[in-house]
Amino acid sequence: MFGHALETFCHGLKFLIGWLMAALAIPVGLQVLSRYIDFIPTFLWTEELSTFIFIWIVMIGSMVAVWEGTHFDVVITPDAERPFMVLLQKSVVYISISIFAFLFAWYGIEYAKVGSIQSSVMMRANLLWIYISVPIAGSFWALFSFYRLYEAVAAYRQAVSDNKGSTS
Amino acid sequence: QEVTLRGASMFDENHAFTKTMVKFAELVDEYYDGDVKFDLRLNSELGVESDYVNFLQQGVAIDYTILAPSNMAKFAPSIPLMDMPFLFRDLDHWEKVLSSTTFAPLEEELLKNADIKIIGYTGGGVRNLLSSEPVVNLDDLQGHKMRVMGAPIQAQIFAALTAAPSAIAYNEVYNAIQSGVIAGFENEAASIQNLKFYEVAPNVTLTRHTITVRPIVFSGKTYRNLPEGLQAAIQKAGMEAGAYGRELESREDGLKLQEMIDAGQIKATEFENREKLLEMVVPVQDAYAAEIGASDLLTAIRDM
Amino acid sequence: MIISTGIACALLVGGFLFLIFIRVPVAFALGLATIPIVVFDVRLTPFIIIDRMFQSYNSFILLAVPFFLLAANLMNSGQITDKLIALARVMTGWLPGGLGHVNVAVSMLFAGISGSSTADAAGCGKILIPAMEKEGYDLRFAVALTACSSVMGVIIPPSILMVVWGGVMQISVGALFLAGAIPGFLIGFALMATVYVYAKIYDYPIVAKPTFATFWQALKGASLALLTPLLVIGGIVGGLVTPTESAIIAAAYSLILGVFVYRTVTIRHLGFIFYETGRFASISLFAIGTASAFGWMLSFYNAPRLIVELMTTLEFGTFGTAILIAALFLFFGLFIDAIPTIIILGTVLMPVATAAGIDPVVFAIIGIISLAFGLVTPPYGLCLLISASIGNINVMKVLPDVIIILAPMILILLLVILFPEIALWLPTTLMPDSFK
Ligand code: NA
Ligand code: NA
Repeated sequence: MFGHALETFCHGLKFLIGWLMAALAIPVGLQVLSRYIDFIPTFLWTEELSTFIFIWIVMIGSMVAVWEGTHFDVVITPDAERPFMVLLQKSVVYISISIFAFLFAWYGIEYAKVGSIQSSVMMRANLLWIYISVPIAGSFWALFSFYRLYEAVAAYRQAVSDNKGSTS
Repeated sequence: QEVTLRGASMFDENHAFTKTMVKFAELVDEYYDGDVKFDLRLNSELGVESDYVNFLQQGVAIDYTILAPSNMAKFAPSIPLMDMPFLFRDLDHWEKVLSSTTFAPLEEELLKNADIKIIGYTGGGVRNLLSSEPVVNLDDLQGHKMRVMGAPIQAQIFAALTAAPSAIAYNEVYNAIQSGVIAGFENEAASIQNLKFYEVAPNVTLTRHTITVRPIVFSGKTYRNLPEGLQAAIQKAGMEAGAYGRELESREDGLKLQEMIDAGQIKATEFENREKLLEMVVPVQDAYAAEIGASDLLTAIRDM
Repeated sequence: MIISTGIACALLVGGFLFLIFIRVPVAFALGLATIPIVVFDVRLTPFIIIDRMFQSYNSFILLAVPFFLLAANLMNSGQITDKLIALARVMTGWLPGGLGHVNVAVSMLFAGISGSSTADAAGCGKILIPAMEKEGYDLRFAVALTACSSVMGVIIPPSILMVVWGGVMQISVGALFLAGAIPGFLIGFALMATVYVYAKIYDYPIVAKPTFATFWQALKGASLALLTPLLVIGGIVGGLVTPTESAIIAAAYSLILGVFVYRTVTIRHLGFIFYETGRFASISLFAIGTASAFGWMLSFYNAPRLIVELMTTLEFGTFGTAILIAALFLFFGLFIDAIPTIIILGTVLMPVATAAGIDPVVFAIIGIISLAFGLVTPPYGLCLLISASIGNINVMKVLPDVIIILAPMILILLLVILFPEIALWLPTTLMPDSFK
């Protein structure tokens, strides 16, 4: 049930990434056009706005990638076969990610506060709107990796009980 | 207990900022009885000026540096007033303002918003126009596609001079001029020489629109944890290092410009009818000062 | 406590390698490795990790990454890639090992249009790997060849890596683009020679001998797509756009071709392409953030300065230094992405290269070719990972073929080091002003 909710949520995030990506083309495109088409005023805020959208794409993308397990990893060691080793192999990864995630979420709140006392130079937008992406991303990495850890434990239990069933 | 203060410079040991910070360290050492060590990191090792602002605000990684005011604008929007184009009449006027306490209200705002203390003022680079093709009069300047620094006042001033200010990231400027995306920008001699901008924009128009003001800044968080004697030494040394740096940089600026002229790297021309520019910018300056609530400050500076 | 340089580097590098070993994703491993440092060193706080990461995204140049990817994804969805394959078929299909040559040739064409290697591996691999398998090619060869030929994407202009390099180190991107062209084509020819040898040994078939009519047909089909490099490079050299903005020109042109000319991209498609681009770009960009934090820590503890001092005192001379630079980039490329390596290592080696009398443009090309080879070297080689997953085969099984195919390519890298004119000739001829 909870997993289903998270899945739906991530699906929403994917839509958001698509829209943000499309939106990113607007300020960059305007920046180019404004230099050549006289009736378009020169936009000094275009660079600022495109960077803002860009940061959000990266942060949301990183969240989705934690959920889907698509952050690139390097496979040097062989895949574990015994259920306990499988659990171990998976859980060290999820726990490591959640350590970083907690740091990001916890100190990200402080970081967002620093953002809230700043405003962007051209658009005079409060930078909280950008900096808040740090604790948000951190919280969701933590949530997603915990859920994956929970799934790994469940799979382990299942494997152990299957095993017992087959040997007894 | 021994204290180590860390500074950061984007430049090598020959740059006026680096020399000023070295002088600052020597002076603190002289004025303070206790043990204090300095670790000055050069060549952008720890990042660029806009990064240093965050470090100082948090009191991590570095304790002091020299910053362009525009880098602090995200904390204190009125700080860019310090080196607004055409603010100072000439070097004497500039020196008079910087050796006084005129900027005190801006210093307070910065300390309150960003917890960054200004302990002295250096600067003295004179900013001129640089372009691939000569720009010598108002006709040339009209519609001139130029890159300006990323503060609204900079864009407003050059727009008022009928130029077409454009948004280009600083690390794309070289490539943008070379390919003709923009026709020019504005900068001071030291940067033109260091980053070899003369290769792509050899025409320098002596508009002398800005005489740079570069505050020597100290992290408020670090400062409060220092012994009182050291705090006093830092204040005194900051003031004096600033005066030293101003003399050094304004002297070097002229020399560097001449060096590049002699080497045939740049061609320098006066701007015809520069007085006209001074008139054109006044309304924009007034409006900007009114917007940030610094009309009195602007009047005070003009009257000095 | 104040940590010494030695301990800091051991903690950072050791921690990173350990985390990689236990399969923590590279982006997180880079970030996690910095944590012990900020915990133990009184001068640092976790703020610095977050800030260094976050501020690294605050760079207009990096926008080239999503836009070049977008252009390539649009090409793949808009059947532009198919038209390029058709052209490559008539151009090289008559040689022994026909489809192998087609694979190389299409990567060269694709490289001239796109700035991204990964999109080439994905787009062309999806079509050519199954096709090669069907015609009796060894799957391992097909996968290895697809991966190795895709590295030309960032060597033949336009190139994401060159845009980043030029911006980070203040070098003319136009000159870099031109400098990459000849080495890129040489790598392509080296690859074709390898395919020829394979074809002779394993008796691989030819595709078909083209007639003039089929050739003309294919050329006409691909002609609009082949205009892209003219637009991108012409846009930069002609002064319409900055290098970063040129990526959006490529994307806009591919969009027009896909939606209006070929009418193969629907609105539904488009949404998916935007999402897929954003998703993939953000994964590599996220790693750039943690790599920047990691690199900053190394700088904070003076590691780069010590490497430079060591290398300058050893006085290897121009050739020795160039070899060492290539080796360092190749080594870093084994473990991390190319862009963070440029930021961490490139900026540090720049003064070393200058001191050794290596031209900045040549230094850049040596660095970029070495980093491009990192795209196919495990453990972390994105192009190899992508093509192996298309072929549904374990990376380790493909490795021997990758090594065989890479060997002649490394020879080309050595040639560029020995004869820098290979890289310099084109830019010095066409842009003499940049080399005053
Ligand atoms: Na390319
Ligand atoms: Na690799």
